[in-house]
Amino acid sequence: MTATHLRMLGAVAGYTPTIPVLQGIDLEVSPERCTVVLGPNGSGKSTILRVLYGLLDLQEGEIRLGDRRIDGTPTHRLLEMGVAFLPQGRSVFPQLTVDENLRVGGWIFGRDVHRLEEALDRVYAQYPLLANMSQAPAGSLSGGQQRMLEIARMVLTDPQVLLIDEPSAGLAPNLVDEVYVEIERLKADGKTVLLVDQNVEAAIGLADHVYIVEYGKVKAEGQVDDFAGDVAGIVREWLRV
Amino acid sequence: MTSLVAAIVNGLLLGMIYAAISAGLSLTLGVMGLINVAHSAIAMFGAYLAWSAMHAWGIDPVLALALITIGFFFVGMAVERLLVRRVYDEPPEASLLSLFGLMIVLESILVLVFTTTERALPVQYTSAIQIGFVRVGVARLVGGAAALVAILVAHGFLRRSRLGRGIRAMASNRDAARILGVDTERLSMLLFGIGTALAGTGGVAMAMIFPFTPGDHLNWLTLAILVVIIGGLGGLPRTILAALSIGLVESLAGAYLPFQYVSIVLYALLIVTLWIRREGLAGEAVRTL
Repeated sequence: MTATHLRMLGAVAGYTPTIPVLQGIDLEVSPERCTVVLGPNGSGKSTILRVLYGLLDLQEGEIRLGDRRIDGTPTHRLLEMGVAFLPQGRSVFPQLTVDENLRVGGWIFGRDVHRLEEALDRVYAQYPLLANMSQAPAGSLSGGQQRMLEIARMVLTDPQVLLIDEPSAGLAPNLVDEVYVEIERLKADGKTVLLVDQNVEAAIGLADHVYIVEYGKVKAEGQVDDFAGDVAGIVREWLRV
Repeated sequence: MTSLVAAIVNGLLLGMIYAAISAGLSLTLGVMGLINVAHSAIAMFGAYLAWSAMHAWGIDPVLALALITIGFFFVGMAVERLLVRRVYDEPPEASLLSLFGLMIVLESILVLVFTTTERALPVQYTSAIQIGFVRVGVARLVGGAAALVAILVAHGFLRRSRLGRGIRAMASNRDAARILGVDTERLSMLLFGIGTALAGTGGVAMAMIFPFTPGDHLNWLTLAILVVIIGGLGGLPRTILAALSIGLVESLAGAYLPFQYVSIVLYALLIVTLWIRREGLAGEAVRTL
């Protein structure tokens, strides 16, 4: 797949027509880089991802994947275009087995069983733990294992662009590092990552490019080096807000 | 002893038919969060179609049952596409009212065309056969068997097929399924078709056993809701278990108690179930006793 930029231009969106959460966001996600969106609670970070993934409609503005305008695309068509999304919180199907969860992750392969089995082999080789538990209901896995299953399921079809929302939220502190190591590995594989996070330190550690969002607007953006030295300052400023 | 075994066999067969009627309701509620109050009216429509087919063309009720089940699958998909989908994202009252409207329309059509005169389907199935030392009505046997086949087909589809896996994923987390590329609208249509097909099976099977008037479908609906509450939404096996229990209780109570006690026993069963499993409708909550 050729490297493509994901762009959001002048995005206005919200959950009610009169109160926009995003008030004109411009954002660019460069191929094979890790772009991080930081900001205090309620600033609209997660809303950016929901809009990008078609779960919330734009009121104004547009979204482009390469030259193609993709706003208005139904959510279920985006994975075919090589864009995947890891939502915040638990999203495994608890009653389905680990194997069934992964097979749903390969839904876009349709009836192409060969491709699905190939992808499953690859993912099981990558995550041996999931292979050992393949017949267990996903709901019986620990929080950290479920997160790994969610990540494995997201990348089963080898998408190019990954949208990731608060990957460490709700995890035990000792598991948090594992998740970031995993994202680091995906980045090293050449994936394009857009990461929304409250864990400023960890996110900055992965970032190539940083956006800071406040009250639905981009307050600052730049290369990570412009921010890295001032993580404490960023957080301090939010606490004052 | 013989009458006890007969009551059990008859109760289980009746329960199978209740299961067919209830399964569709349980599926649409469990997967789509939709209370399909038109479900029993659709089933009753099936009963009258079978009755018409027999009287107008002499079509055997068993053949009618098969044709109606298949036909209703497509009818259900059309209802989902044309009615349910339009109101799906609105507050739940919208879909409840729309389906209530559909129910009124269907029932009114039946009253207009067939009047409220009581009808009965099973002309050549009124006999009973002797199995071992138990006498079982042929109609009940055929209806129960047809219901069992329909449910097993639906269950097998949901457990084993790729689309069934997608439906189960959607039931568990609709947004997560969409994110992974599952076209949840298409699967909702398919699921509603399956539920409607099962309503067709159940309606014709009920009509094989009991005489019916258009308004009787409300009794069927009450019964199906009872089954869904007792069984919870954890999947078809639970629905079948609940339906079999209700068939059994009804049959046993009918055999040993005066007629007017049957409903009391049924609702006592509901109270006891909710007492023990307080999650009731939720079905998925784990008991912590």
